[in-house]
Amino acid sequence: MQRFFGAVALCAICMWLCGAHICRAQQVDTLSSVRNLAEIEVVGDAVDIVLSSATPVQEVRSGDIERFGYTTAADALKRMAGVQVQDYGGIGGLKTVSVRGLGAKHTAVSYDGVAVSDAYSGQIDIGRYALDNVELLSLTVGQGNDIFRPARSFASAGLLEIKSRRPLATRTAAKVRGGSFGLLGAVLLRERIFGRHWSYSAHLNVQRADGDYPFTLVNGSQSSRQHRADGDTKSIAAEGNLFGSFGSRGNVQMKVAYYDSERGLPGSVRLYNKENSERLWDNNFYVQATGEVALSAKWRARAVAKYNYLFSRYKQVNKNYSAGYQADANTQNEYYASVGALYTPGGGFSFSLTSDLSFATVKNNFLAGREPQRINSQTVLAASYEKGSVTATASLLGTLLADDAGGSSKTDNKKRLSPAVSLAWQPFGNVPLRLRASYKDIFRTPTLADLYYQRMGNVELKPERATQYNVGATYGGSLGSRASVALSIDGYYNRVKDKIVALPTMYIWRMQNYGRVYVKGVDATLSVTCSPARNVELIADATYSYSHTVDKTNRNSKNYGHQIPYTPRHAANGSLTLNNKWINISYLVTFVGERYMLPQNITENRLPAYTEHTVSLNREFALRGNRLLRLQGELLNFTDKSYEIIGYYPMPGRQWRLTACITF
Amino acid sequence: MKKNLFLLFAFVAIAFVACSDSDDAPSFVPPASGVNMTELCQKDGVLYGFLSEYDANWNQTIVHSSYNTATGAVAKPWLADEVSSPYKLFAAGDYICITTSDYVNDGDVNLFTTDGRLLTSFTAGVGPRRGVVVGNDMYVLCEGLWGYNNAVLTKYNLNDHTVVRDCFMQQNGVGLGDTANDICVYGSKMYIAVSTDNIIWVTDKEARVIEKIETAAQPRYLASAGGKVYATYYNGNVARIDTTACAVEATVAVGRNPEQLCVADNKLFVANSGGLDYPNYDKTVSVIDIPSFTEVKKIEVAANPANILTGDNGFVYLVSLGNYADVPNTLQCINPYTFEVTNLTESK
Repeated sequence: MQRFFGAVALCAICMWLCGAHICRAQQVDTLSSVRNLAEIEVVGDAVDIVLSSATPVQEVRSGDIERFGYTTAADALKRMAGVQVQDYGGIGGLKTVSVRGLGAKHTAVSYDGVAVSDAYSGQIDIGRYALDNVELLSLTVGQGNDIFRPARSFASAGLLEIKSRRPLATRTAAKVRGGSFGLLGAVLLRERIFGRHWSYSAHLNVQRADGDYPFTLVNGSQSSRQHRADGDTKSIAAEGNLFGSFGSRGNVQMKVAYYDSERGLPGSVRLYNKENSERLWDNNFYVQATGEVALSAKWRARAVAKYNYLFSRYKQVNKNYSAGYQADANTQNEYYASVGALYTPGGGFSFSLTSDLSFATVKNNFLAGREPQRINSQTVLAASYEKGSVTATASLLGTLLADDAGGSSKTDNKKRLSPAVSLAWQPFGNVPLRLRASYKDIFRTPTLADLYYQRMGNVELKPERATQYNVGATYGGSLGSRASVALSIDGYYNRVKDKIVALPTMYIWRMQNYGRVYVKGVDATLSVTCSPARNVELIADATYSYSHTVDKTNRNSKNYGHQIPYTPRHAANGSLTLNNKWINISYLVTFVGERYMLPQNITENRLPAYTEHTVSLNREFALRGNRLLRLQGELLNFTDKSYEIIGYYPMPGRQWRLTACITF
Repeated sequence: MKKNLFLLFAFVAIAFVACSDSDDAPSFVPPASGVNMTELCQKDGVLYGFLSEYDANWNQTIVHSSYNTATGAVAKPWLADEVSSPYKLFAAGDYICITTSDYVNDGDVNLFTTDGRLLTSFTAGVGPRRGVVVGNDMYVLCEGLWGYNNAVLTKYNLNDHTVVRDCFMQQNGVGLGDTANDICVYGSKMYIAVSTDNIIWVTDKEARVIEKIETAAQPRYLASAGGKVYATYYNGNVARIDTTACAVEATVAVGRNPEQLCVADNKLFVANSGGLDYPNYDKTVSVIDIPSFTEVKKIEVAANPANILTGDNGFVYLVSLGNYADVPNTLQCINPYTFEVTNLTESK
């Protein structure tokens, strides 16, 4: 608590210091920012990567974030095809993302090109990533077209990339947000361009919420209206970025980030007992730097470095413990570096070799033995060919993983080669139809908690393997002069082997490699944009996913051949946006079919299908002195639908949110 | 040396029995050989239990053993490999029942004769823990999975073999709650302890609710004597429930995280596990004098005591679970008059 306010004060002072400096700079010359604009490297592809990628890519850009009023990465990911966001409800509730029935730990998250990692739990809470300063959010399934990236980006089945906005001009923005259930937040942003090549941005995001939303609890034939208690949350995130852009010669980016939060964990709703007292404190600090340089016309090199500090504390107050409570404290330190080179000899070929090395230590009062350490070395050799109508990539990732917790809990080093290939082909000349096919064999390593958690951990664990196959087609083009369309359809087949699960022995649970899951599915996306009149734009998006994700572990088990928990057969999203000069309106609808909360597909375990509707309105006002005011309002779940994504973790009903942002 | 010690214990015990002159005084006969079991249950003076052994990969092999407390005869294994993923063992009516569970899917109840013949089995719910026979019905309490509110009471008719899943819901229109732990029948009523919900349901023998007792802590196990029902609370207490008023009328402090309890010589014997304080488990059995409802003694036993019952010979039998790793299970016998503890497990 004290630390929280200490951090707020510290950041406020920092902001004030930068602000003072910036204001002075701003008075000097407003033209310089315009002139500097020309120096900024324009990031973006000639052809939309969503259509040209040899593996499925889905993107949400800042424009989408604004028109739908998304506040966290979880909001945006929920609307994507083939994606399951496991949401434990409320603003502070944990949100994890899993792709195509593979389990959350198969999706990596990278922030500005550097992977976010948690060697202890392997769990990344995507609800933490605010979108106020995000330019692009993209989700790639399998291995994407870009071969020149850190080896870690090759090391997962799915990759969520979050890119923060690069300053395009010197500006300051202040944003306040309020909403249902005690939501209050403020965002301060300062961006500045200085010199011919340099810019920086500083960003502060403070948020709090009570999270005490009403919900309906159904108990047999009775139903009652109740309030979710202990769902309060407060957080502060601060970030500073320094960008150097030297055109085709190279670029550098440095980031310092701090995050601190405290939240109540309301737990699952019980029918009779409302008592619950669990809290979680998270603290994260990291610095990262990436630099890329052109050595010659054919050679480029890149280096990445990161230091990451993670601390979390969990406390449960309960008289069952002789101390009156249980507290877990977990501290992690990670050092990470990556170096790579790209060789482009011509003829459409490129080759890259990248090597990553990381060293992580964990201190946790619930780990057996000494403090575990993990050394992970990943090297990837990749090639791509891109000419005319064909794009092809191939990569081979080598992983060497060494864990050590000292004493008797010694684990074997793990070595593995993971290949991936992909091909995209535009068969009919200028017709914007592309066919694609890809394959990737990948695994997720057991986390340090899987290996060493007291009593439960198992040092014998092997990695959990996932094999992915995808075939698909994309089409993108204009429909007459006033409209354009983009659509994609992909069919896939995934196999998961040696699944890492907690299995009960007689009295205690143990982590084991047990389980096999086969996934067959189809993801389809459609987007149409048209402008029926001057100053009027209509955008329609739709996605549909079919997923047959079944357990094939043990023929004698009662859930053999059953759809795995929390994986709907059918899910769909739709949205409609009308942009005009008076007010921009967006409507979003999400449908998730029935699911099961436990492995056995029986009535008792069924969670019903739900449909959620949201509407978002926004308008920009130009004020005097080049100031811009943007007002945005959302009404979420406006039909007040009662539903659950995770069993007995009710989601909020109707909620509103209002945001005002002033930019100058 | 250890074996000699064991024989010495056995000799002392026999000597004790031999010295007691009264005919109706309970007699203790040690097992013919060291015996080790968990999930203790008793039928006609014979104790039945699982013997679990873990290999290096934590795969579990379970054999079922029995120990005749009257003759000292030990049979091992009593059954082998007929039930996969065995979970709980209980005696109900004429049967020895072994339930199965993988904790997430529905488990079965297998009904055996006392000589180990599988008669029939039926599916009950997630985690079948304990069954009681009332007339022609066997009620099986299934704990459910923590956090899923899916504890159920399933009724199985022993004559026509019909199964009513969740008859509690059917009778009352509401669920049992989250993590049901124990059921007992006493007088004209049934008592069901639902741990995570802090509830003891009092029902009639058709499972219709008479009273919902909201307890001050998590109730774990139940026992009955002299018109009262007793419940262990996981926060270190034992509660006394008046069976007419259907309310908790008194509590008494015991050791850490008490599990099962039993009645012998007008005293309650409570197994204090200290299960939440790994690796510093409790290693005591609290003795509560029933008339004064006060703790009169803490008996030192093997670490992590959990299963406790009173044998037909009046002696108290206790299983301590050790630490699930290098400290193994131990079966011990407590003399309820002298509080002397005899180790019945052959030391390895």
